[in-house]
Amino acid sequence: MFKRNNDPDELPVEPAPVRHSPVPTTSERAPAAIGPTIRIRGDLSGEEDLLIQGEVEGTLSLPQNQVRIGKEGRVNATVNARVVEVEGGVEGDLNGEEQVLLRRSAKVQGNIRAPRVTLEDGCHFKGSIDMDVPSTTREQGAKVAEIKPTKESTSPDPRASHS
Amino acid sequence: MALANLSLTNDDPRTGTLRFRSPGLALLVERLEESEYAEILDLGPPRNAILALRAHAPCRIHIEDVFRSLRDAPAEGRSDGESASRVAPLVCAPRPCIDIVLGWDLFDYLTAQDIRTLMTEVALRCRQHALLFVLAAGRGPIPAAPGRCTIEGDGGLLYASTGPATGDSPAWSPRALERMMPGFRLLHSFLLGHGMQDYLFVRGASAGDATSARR
Repeated sequence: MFKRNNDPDELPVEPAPVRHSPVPTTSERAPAAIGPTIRIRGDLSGEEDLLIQGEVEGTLSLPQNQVRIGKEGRVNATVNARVVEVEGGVEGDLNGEEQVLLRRSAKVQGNIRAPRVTLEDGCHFKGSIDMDVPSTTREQGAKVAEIKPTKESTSPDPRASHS
Repeated sequence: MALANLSLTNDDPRTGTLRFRSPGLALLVERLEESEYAEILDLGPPRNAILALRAHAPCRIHIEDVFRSLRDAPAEGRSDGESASRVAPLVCAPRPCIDIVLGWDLFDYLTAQDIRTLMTEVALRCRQHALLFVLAAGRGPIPAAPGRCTIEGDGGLLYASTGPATGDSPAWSPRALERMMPGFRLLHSFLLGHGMQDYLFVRGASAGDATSARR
């Protein structure tokens, strides 16, 4: 039924390479999710987008990705991400390499540092917002001028001890 | 007191939007533009519009939303009239780092005790010569909550009322406000129109007056 090929000059056929579909980028892949019944305490890091609907306490570090704290999310942590979007509750600092966005349902107490910050009408926020020079530059002693006609340079950045 | 230019965007100023030219605000922005960097303490609610101050100078903005804190605070000891202050501790660290304080019309919604407590805390956080901007309504009814204020170019101030007038303004006089702000003195005052007035206070040199008032 099957003919054996006995031709010695015929080279064995290499199996065709298996083509895997390309690994989706972070924008194409659905975000990882922490569900509403999940509580995490500790340091979270990763390289994919993250949606938080549960409780997280500690530190979140996803500098290349987006972190979204959903309406049911409760975060007591420092968040470092490319984009931070908040709809739920946060007690802690939000550091966005690109942007921090507080939706109207957000309740945040902490400090925000990002080149772009958006506060939707109705959001709750108490804390400081820093949209300018990156913190490393500030700590090198950027000049702080007093508000009076003659400019005076001041002593080292007072925010070094700012909590 | 100077009568500033006034244009109305609504026939009923107490339920609509008012646009003023505030010389006090213009002076404050001018001082901001002269600085290389400033720290601003906003006693009002978080609004995107406040972030526009960055156009004048790099700055860090501290937002306290004092009125919401008061509104959400438990009502204690109010049955006997003048109660203890309801002002919660400020989030901003208690060290002299603030160059500009934006009070808006918050003081129309605070008791005298609230103002004294709040301003004692604010004074601790202000650098020497820090400026405080305040809006105050004259005699007459005011809405139940502070308005939403937006800074426009060249001292422009857009004041959006948050509802119909339901209560009486405390109609604080400049002298009364100054007495409630140990460490601050009145620098300028301008009548804006429709009974509204802006005040610019400056933080004095002595920090001791604020701490002694706290005791």
